[in-house]
Amino acid sequence: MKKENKISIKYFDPILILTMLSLIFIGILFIYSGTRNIQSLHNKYINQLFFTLFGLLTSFVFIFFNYKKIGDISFVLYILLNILLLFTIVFGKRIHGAKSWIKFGSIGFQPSELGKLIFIIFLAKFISLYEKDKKYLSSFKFFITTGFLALIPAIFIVVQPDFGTMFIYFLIFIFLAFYSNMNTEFLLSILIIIIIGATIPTLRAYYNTIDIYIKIKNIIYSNIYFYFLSMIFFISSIIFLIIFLKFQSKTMKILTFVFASLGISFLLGIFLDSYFADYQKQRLLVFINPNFDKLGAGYNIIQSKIAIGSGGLFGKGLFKGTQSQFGFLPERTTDFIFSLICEETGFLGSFILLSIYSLMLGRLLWIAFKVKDLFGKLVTLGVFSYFFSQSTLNIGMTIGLMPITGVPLPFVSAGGSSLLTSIYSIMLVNSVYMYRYSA
Amino acid sequence: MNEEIRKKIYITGLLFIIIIVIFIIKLFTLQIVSNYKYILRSISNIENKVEIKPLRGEILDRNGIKLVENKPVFNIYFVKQKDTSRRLQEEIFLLSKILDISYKKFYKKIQNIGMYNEVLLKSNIEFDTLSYILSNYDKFPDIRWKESYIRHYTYNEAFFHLIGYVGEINRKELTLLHLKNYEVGDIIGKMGIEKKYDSILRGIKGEKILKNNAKGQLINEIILKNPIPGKTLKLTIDRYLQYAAYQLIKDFRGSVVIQNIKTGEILALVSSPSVDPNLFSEGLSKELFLKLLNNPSNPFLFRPISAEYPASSIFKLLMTIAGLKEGVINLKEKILCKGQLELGDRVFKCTERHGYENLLDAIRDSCNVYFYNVGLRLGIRNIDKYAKELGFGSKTGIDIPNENSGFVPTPEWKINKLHEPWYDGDTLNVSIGQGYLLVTVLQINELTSLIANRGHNFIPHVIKEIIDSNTKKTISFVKPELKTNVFFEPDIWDTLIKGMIAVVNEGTAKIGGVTTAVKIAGKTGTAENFGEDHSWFTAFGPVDNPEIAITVMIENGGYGASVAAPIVATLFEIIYGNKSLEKAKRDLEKARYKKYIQLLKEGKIGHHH
Repeated sequence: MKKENKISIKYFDPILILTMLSLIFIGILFIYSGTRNIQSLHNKYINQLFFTLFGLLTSFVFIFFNYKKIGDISFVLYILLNILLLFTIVFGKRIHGAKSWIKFGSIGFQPSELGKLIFIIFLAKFISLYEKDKKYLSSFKFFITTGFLALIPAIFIVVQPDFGTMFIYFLIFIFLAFYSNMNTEFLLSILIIIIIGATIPTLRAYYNTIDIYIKIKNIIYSNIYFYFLSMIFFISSIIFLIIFLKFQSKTMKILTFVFASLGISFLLGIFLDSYFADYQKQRLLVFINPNFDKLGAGYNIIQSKIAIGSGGLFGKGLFKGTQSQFGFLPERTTDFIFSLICEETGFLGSFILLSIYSLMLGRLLWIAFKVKDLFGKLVTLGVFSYFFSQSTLNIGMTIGLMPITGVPLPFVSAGGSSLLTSIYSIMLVNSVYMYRYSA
Repeated sequence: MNEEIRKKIYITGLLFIIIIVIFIIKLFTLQIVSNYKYILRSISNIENKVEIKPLRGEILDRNGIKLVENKPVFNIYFVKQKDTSRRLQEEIFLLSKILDISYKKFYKKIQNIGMYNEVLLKSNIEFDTLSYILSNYDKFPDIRWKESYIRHYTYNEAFFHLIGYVGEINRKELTLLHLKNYEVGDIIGKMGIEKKYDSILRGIKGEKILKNNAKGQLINEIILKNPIPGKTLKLTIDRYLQYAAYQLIKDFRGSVVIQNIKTGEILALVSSPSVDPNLFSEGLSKELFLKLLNNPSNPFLFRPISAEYPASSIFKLLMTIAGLKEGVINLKEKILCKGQLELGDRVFKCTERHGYENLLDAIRDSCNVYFYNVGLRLGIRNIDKYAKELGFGSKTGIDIPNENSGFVPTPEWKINKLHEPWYDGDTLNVSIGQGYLLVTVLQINELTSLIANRGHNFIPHVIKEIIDSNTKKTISFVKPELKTNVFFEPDIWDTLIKGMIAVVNEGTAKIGGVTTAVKIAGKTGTAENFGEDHSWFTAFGPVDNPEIAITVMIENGGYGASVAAPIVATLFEIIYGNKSLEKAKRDLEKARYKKYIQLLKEGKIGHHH
């Protein structure tokens, strides 16, 4: 044991640790900048500092223990996660419309955040169990089984409802399914279902706000047309299936999947239309055009763009951003902290921040490339997809390229649960890196 | 497996690079390419250019006493903030009670405003209410207050028609005036002097930049341009006379004109019924406004200059001038009054059987038959000529809006409009100030001034000076301007004045028009009307050195001498006898009672003089 540790300390990855620490430092600095004018939030940056120290200290567990041991208990963790999520739905505290918090005394905690890491470990472990059985990995049965296991926590999160977090879970699953060579037809189907399924309620919400020819409106708003369409798709899918069974053509197989998923997507669209609350549909609309609701949902994105755009090349200077210091930029220490950084440090600052992220994400990919153990590889890739999708969604949202999902920027946004999860994730990958030669 | 994953890591890396590149391009366009645009928008977020409203010019009476002043009032605003919790509901509930607005109305007001925008809750609130709200600020964190000025009219109803009132500019006014820098939300004069002299009174707006944070709290304020206050107007009106005159006629529908005949300056110009203009400043409800508009007595009508009435017997003064000048009558000739005049098959009545009367008797007794004869001898064309020459049928040119010209009928007019020829009977009616002839009270007063001045009068005016509000220096003042100036034989004026003195001392106005304070000369009038007769009296004084002309007209007041004449007499006593208004009013009541008894005894009630 002792000998093993000695070897591993030498392989401690400085790039991961340094990029992480610099991101956290930037975060704390700008949390201070964003709250220095507000008396009641003065402690926010100290909280962040506290969680950093707490996270770093506790994460030494990952350094002194082989990451594989965590893999061994991943099933237990998975069960615990689901229990916690269920507990949250029943006893949780509602903040910003979602019941995603549980409270221990005065400290709030978001199980769905830490759940991201558990989800990654669990999926990686589950997939790596079947490392030798390549055929099974790409089989329909395996996809359904993994999908089902991934769906359970996702459903709990949807019920909260926290659409943004659920979306991150979904993306992590897609990435891992992609890496582990799962059935591509399924992936294709799922993408079709998600894209069309989300488009229908968005379109309906959009046309609700403008005047269009009444006949078109009738078509868009009556579910019967949609049921009819999905029936046609299902029937064609069955026809393709029959042809496929007779001739075993790969094109026919793909067509069967595509048409079946088209059918499902229309049904899903109708379901989502009734499932989404108005404010959620509004967010999708605002993504299309922020001018929709200038003072409501659109306000955030417009103010964010003004903050970023007015930063210029060098920024307005630390603590001198008018958008942030005078309170025009909303959620400026959490969802929109990137806009605050862009305003005060300009294009140069945002370029440096993006570079640090690129360095970290690139390093994660490099580690995944180097590590031979499948579990370690998948954990690293899982953590990569977690940070990659979350930072892409967050930054994309602040610059108006993606809808408002309300996901935090890893390491930088204020928030204990998110920060701890991010630190643990990096430390776990660090452990993967350190123990890459161990048995 | 490992090789496949490595391939996929390459694909992921590619995807990652593509996204990073897209982000950097987007950031470049936002921060470098569109930088200027977003800087402007971030500035417009904090900086807000607002206008500074200038103080509206004050209006003073001839002695410099304020008739209109700017009264500071407090307005309460509500700022919508993010908190929509129960605390807000409590706040709304409490405020709706304090400010006396219904909870529902309150909620509606604040429902549709944007975040951090403010909405006016109530203007013109009491200082006590404001200080209560401010001392309990923790309960009302969403409340802001601002000071503004409203017009306060010191003498309430007495000056309503003359000075008018102000209100927010409406769409119609805006389309007319938007080229003259009027904007939505501006306060504009709606009537009287406030309307006519709005461009002088309104001043010039200033400009300042307000720096606000997102919650609308003020951080800093930079003044770009100071506002220039409106100019002060000094009127020729004597505020005490105006007030007294209003007090004397406020129970009737009618007019009072008091004028300095040596300059044309109007000392009082009163119309009754009236409205308190402060109601408009304090925010008049729609219901009350409609009620005022639909009032059959029409309190908005500025009777002395806008209303047109039959001239009544006062017109006999003009007939006298015309008759003497044309030589159709003289002082000696006596004309028989049998109580009526027959013309064809029509009978034209007189008030009583006067017997043989000369000109002076006829003026004193207001004999109709005498002036029927004058009218017949002159003919309508001569009457029209003198009426028009001496100012009837055209506006006097007073410097306030809504003046009407009255009407002098001609045979051509009658043919064109009524498709009937002019009959001698029409001439007879005009001769005693009835028929198609219409005059304004101000025109009658101008006639009296003309007689008192023996041949000339001045354009009536109410503006005396325009004063710079900052330096208190007079910028310009209105000079007397001759209106009519005729050179008739002095005999004509002597005769008229003698006759008018007789009217007061022994004639139709004997019972009502006498005043001990000053010697006056006047003429009564009782205009026939569909309802009760209109009561007229016009007079000037002192007789030896005429200074003042007063005309009072009371609608449906009945016998000319009974209502109008005592009011004129009382006003002369107030001017020359230092009589207090209270005593004057009491005396007037007594006199009215006495006269009523006397008239009953003489059986004169219901007859026309």
